[in-house]
Amino acid sequence: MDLHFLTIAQAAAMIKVGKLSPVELTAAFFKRIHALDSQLDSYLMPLEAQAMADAAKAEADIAAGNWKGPLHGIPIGLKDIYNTAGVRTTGHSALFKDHVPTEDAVTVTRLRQAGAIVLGKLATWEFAIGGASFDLPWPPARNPWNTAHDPGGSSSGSGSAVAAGLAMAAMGTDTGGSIRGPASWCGIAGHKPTYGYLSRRGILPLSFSLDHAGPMCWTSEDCAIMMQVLAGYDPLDPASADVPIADFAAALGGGLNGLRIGVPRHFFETDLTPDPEVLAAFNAAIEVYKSLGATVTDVTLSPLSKFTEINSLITASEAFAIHGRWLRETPELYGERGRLRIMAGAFVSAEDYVNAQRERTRLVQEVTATMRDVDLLMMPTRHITAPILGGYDSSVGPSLTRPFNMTGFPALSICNGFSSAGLPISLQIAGRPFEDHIVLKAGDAYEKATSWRGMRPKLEATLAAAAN
Amino acid sequence: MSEISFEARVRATGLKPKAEDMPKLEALVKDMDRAAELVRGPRAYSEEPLSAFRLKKA
Repeated sequence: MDLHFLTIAQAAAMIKVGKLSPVELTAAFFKRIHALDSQLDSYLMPLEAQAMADAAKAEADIAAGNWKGPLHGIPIGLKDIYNTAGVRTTGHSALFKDHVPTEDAVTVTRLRQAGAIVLGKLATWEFAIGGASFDLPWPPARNPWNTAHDPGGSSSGSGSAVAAGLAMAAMGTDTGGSIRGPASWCGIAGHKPTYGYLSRRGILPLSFSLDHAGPMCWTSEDCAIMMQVLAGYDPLDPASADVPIADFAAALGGGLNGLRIGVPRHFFETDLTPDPEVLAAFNAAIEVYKSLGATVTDVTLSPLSKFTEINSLITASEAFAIHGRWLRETPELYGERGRLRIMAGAFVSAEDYVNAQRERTRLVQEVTATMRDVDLLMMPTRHITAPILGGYDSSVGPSLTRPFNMTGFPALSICNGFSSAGLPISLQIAGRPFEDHIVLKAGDAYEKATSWRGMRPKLEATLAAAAN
Repeated sequence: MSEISFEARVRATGLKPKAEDMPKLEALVKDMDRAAELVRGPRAYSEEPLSAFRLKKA
């Protein structure tokens, strides 16, 4: 059995009854990290000694009858903008290369309390903005489906590691698509929760009003398992929502009869030009949903460029508010892409920033009104498959993910096929605020009705071919 | 009124980008200026911005 390709749901069932050892499982991941990650660069910092000690403790606790739940003994990775007590949190930047937090991020604390094993800190775009860069202290992560290609970002190491079987799950963050983008190009499930459902405290901020933390896993079911632990009110995060937490696992299954799906077709048929294979995969996925009992109608929203450009305006403004002092004093400690993207925020006037947030209120009202008639919105996550590493610029062109950072509505990316070149294609499912469980239910239903979750990157073969 | 040069706008921010950064930065700032045009339309004086500022009872 390939332990590294088990899902959380599969591994948890085995760990609970003593058929799988957390120590054996964690060791299997480190064996694979040592063997393969030099070609993927998904990890900035493996934390083997601490992880093995934590796995041994988990094993002893479970053997003593103290199983904490389905994350107990599960090996995960953290995007290196999640603070970890006593362990460097660099943001993949020379500026923070010696930054050692004294506390874990709240989400990390919740994961540890649930018994998850932290394998290490994962690559990211510098401070979660820009793109794959070669002028930082560490190289950019690569795509395990083809290591010449971009894994997407900014949660690049998270997407790469989960797809490659170098972590069973990982944490990402998403300000304009940074969970869903790498989920898309790496062929995994990535969930950007409703804004306020998860605490952001202890995560290096990029854009206070747009940043979201969220899980990246092989399946929607695994994202649901992670969400059960991660979601919760944090009185010290000013954006945290004090709302009841759904029973995510209970929401899965049970069919999709009566589910109403809206498709903003103009987003990906006229507002930008999709890869024909992406469009064909989307249309095929919609047919699957119809066969599962859902009804589908087209809906119209504001042009995609409006969501995208206002998102960029707000991101740059808020990011510059954080980084302005450092960019004036030590710009040389940033890579070019991050440096320039954040510097651009210095040129946004206060009037334009406030009016961007006023326009955002209108967009939230518009999407809310549309979603009175449909339960979910569906579209491709990315209109193209993964490009060659280094060639992608996230600041260029409309983005299908940004509408759900602008509105804060939950959005999930799942794999819905592969291109003729063998690269993953993805479907995005968005829902109403705090109806993340319905989004995940729809993702889970599709994954179980199709065969895509049975396909994994043949990394050993890819690497052998690259070496020859 | 003459238009403010990009170099003057840069000086006003207190930033000192490298000379080779200037063309790329100028292109990104043009993107910001274009985005700003999208939010400059007429709106009611009372229209509120989206805000995370919500007081909670202590």
